Amino acid sequence: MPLNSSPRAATAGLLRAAGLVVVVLTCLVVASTHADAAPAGQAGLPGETIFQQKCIACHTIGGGRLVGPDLEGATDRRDPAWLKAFIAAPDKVLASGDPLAAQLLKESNNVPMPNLGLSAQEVDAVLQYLAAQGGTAVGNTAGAAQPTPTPVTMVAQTGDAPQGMLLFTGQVALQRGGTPCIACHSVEGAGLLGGGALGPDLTQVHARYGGDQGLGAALAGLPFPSMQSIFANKQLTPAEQADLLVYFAAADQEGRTPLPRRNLLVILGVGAGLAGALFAGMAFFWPRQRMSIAQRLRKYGKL
Amino acid sequence: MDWNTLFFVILPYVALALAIGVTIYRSVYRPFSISSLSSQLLERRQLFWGSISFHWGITIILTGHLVALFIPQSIVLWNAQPLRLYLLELSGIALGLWATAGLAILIWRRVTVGRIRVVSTPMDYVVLALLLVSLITGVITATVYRWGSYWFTGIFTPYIWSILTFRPDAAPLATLPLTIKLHVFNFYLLALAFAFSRLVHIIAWPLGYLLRPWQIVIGLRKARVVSQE
Repeated sequence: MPLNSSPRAATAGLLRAAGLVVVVLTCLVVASTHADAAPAGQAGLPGETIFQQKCIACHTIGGGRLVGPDLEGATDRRDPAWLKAFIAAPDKVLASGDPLAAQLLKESNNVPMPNLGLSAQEVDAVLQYLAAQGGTAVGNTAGAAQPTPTPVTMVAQTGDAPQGMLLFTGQVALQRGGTPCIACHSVEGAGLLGGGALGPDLTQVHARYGGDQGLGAALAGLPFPSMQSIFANKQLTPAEQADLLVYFAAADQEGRTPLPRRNLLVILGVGAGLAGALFAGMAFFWPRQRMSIAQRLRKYGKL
Repeated sequence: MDWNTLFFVILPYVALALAIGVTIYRSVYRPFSISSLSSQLLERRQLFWGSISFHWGITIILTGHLVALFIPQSIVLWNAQPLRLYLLELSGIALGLWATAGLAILIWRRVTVGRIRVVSTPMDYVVLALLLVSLITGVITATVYRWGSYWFTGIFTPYIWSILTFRPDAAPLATLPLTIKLHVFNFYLLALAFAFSRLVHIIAWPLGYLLRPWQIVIGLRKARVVSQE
């Protein structure tokens, strides 16, 4: 770095900085093309596995609707190209103003289907699986074409709401080490300043997810893209699912209105107040540092 | 190859490699440049309000990030009572706002005080701008996307360890809001700038000052002027 600030040194510094930018960009471009050459991490999981992992929380095949529609015969009902586009990127199809997607959203209590990040291959695999489960088989030769209702992991109605609240707030740790709900979610009534706001408010989640069955399935699989990496190996235990389910049901019945904006204002206000207190503390505790030793010697005649 | 991989897997390695490599080079071949070139003698009143608030605020916040990275369980256990969670979060937000105000004073000082402007290099302004982005996105993350101290342990602790152990997995970041991504991306830009800017002074720990005998520096030239009067 230039120790003096003559125009020449400044120009040299700028040149060096520009050189650095070029080097970094080159590294990035080289690295990215190299990464392109590497095989894509997840090459085609079988459709059934994907369905069990990512779809089952909101959909059944022949078992009735949960949050999302029953997918029995979906491959017959819908245009294949539309199905493909929607499963691959439901958020984009919905944002494009697609009328069918809008209608499905309405039927699903306005719970949008998350983008599950499936590759084109995986979408095909899921579609094949769906077709094999009771729609028209598309290139399907396997004999497993009977429409077997998918077993929905039903959470036993043995939950305990107070215990669910303790799990929600983290006062009782989740057995498998998952991050407690309150980190990202709020339920009005839990905690003075509410829960987190990274994820959606869950005060009325029980109603939105269509009651016990829909929410129970969602709690069992937690199929939300932003939650999957956190809970991949730390799923909720059946007992925890039951407690949380009953807690959400109770919270919904209380009918409170979420107040995220009030919480935000309180937090900002208190934070700004404390920051002001820190400045006041500086004025009180650090005053001598504002004078140099020489000034202090001149003024007081001692250090 | 997607943006997520480019920004949160490749960029970190490029940035960290340059930060470490060039810093070592610089401390071996340009040892006396490991400094932030104090401007305290040029202006000290605004420096007091800006520097102390900025440095204490940012140091404590950075330490908080490191605690969440290295001993996440301590944060999880602390946060297990909502009141303690709120205490931690409000402290963090207060420190963040304190540091942001301090940085604003430092920027104001560097731009408006002529004596400081003269000794400023372009990189000084780059560093100030990056730090401002870092603090503003951090405060937004802490308030709008609360409670960061808690979800950091679920999202960022595994992510940063995946980078540090050379098994990079940026998938947890893909779905995060843009502000949080910008906060992380901006950190890597700071790491890129680290070795080429005044930021290197972070590795200079003047611990010797705590142990050495005190000394008073006397300006001879001024004394001579006084004696002539």
